[in-house]
Amino acid sequence: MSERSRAVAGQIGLLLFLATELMFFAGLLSAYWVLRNKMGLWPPPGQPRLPAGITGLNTTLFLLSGLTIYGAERAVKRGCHLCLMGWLGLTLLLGLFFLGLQGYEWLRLISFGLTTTHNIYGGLFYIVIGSHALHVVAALAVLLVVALQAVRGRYTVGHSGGLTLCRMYWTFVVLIWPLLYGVLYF
Amino acid sequence: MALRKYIFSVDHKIVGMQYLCTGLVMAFVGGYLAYVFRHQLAWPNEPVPLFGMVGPDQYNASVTMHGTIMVFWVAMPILLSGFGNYLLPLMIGAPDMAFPRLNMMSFWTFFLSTLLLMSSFLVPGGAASGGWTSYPPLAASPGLSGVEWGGHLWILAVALEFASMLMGGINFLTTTLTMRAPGMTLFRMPILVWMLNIASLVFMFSVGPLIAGAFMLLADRLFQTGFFLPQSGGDPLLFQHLFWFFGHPEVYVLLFPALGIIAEVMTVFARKPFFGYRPLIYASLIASVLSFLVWAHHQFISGMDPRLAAPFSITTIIISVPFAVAIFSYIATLWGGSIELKTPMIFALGMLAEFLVGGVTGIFNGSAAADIYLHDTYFVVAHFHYTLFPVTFLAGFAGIYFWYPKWFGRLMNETWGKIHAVLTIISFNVTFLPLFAIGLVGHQRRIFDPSLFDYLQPFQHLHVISTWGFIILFLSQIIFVVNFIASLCYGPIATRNPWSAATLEWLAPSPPGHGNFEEPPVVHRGPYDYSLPGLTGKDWKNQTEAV
Ligand SMILES: [Cu+2]
Repeated sequence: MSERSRAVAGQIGLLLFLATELMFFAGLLSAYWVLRNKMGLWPPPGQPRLPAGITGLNTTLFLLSGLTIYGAERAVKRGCHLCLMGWLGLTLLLGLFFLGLQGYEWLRLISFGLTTTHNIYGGLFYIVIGSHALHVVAALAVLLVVALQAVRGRYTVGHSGGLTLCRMYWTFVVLIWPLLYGVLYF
Repeated sequence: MALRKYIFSVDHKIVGMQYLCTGLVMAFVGGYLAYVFRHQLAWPNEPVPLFGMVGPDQYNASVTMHGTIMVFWVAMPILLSGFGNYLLPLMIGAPDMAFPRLNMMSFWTFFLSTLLLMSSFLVPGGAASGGWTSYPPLAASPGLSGVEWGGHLWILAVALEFASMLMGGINFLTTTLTMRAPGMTLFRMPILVWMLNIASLVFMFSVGPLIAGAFMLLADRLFQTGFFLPQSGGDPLLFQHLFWFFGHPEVYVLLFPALGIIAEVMTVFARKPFFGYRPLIYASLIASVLSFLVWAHHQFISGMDPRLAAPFSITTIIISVPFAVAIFSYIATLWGGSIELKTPMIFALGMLAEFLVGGVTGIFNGSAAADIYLHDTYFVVAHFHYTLFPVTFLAGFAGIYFWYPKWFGRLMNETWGKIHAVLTIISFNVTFLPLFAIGLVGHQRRIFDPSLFDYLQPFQHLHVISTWGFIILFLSQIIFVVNFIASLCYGPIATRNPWSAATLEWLAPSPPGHGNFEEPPVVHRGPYDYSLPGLTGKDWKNQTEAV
């Protein structure tokens, strides 16, 4: 197989995987919708509200990381190694910031008494947002590998298959987030 | 080196064989469990030879694990992964899968899931016992069932198994899209290749919601979230929806490869082109889409909104139309053919006939009014065994006898093969026909001891007939195992193309070496050019022969 057809195969495979992922989140959201409608009062009495404001800010920054990784891909096409490193570094930082702020908010929510035991409101929050957080962790790990490859100068014009796959996965993780944010935080 | 070649191999043929063999071994585990609870049903509270006394907990666990194993550890690995991995690259003229390493990982993930599942028999509390559908509240609260670790392991094992099948599905689709030999257009692909791809697509689009449901079930078990428990405001029905949104398409994930296998077998042994190749493909695609719109026919009496019953009845009955098209295509393929009743053909004909019974009884269950009476009775048990047994075993055996010479370079013994086929088909009917009758008199499923119910007493002999049928069915498989193993050493040497078949895999050596073909094939014609006029010596042309 030529490098080009290998790259195409990789992209097709990843797209198929992302379709499955989309169905996974659709399943979670439909469960959320059913249970929330059943409960009536939402959030249930005595339960903390979710921090929509600060998470909104976080969402905006996270969406930006979807643009920066696109910048990294463009940089390879232009053959600018320094820009590539810059864009990748920025994406990593934005991703880490998103994860860090989310973790901080989780700790605060736990201290406000948002638990899972016999608590569907809390349980749904942790399972939906937690699933996404796991995806962010995985995407960050992939990004880290790609960044290390980039340092070694692995990506040149026409030889950036790995970076493209990473960009596709990262974009998926970024784009699914506003949907989860919109459904869960309001 | 041998370790690299046969154990941690990335070659699609070895991976396929690993799946097939694991599936066949698991079939004996699933069959043994069936023997345990069928013995209990026929002769309640008598000790089971080779097992001992069956308690209610063991009964529940054996029923649950029988279903789980047969669907996820036998039917899926044999039909989809076993045949698929071995044959798909060969049939499209490719040297291997698109992602060979992912393929190896897929098998080892599956193997790990098998170990996890089997280990659940050994943990305190025993294996999962909430039914293969794992319905909450029972499956969500270890306190109710007394099964703590068995249930956790069940969910983990199933999740891992899905991950492995997902890797396989991605591989099938990508391989088909990117690695076909020159000239192998989509509508020149053998039907089995089409069916494997459609099955993979159906699996991938249906499995996500079930994984979501399984995570929530695990959270209920581990963190007491109560998603599916009414006392904490949860909804047990929600799990049923998530389960059957996957569960119904899953039936077609198994059916499509089986239809593909028998299409290859029937065209060869009827010496005819497939009748209605394109209609069959279109019908299968339509059925796949419809399969996502019928799931609630499993829940007519679950307490869901009764207004949902009518639409789901209608979609269910509509979905039988594309399958009727498919069945007629197969019958028309046989019509006027020069039929040769070799072992694979007997199994393929058995598959078509028995599956028809399963399909037609499905319409009874699919109409809400009839289902209110039939639901959860042995009628349903008989119905789905008439669909899944032919799909898994009759089509599976048809495929094994048919491609065995390609896999091992030797043919299986034909006489013993025929005896195996006839015994299997007859004893299968002896096992499951009585269950239709016993269900129609109102015998509920999942009853440990039918002798406790007076109204079932007059029908106890049907349980006895069914169990004897099953014992013969189970013992008949010894013939297959001996034939399978003995033919490896003593079977007649097979040529490259012992059946005079026209598809690409028969061009390769038997067994094919690494990289499959000596020279990359170029395709010039469709897969079923049999009984061509004007030829001398042979009546067919391989796909690579010029028009
Ligand atoms: Cu169904």
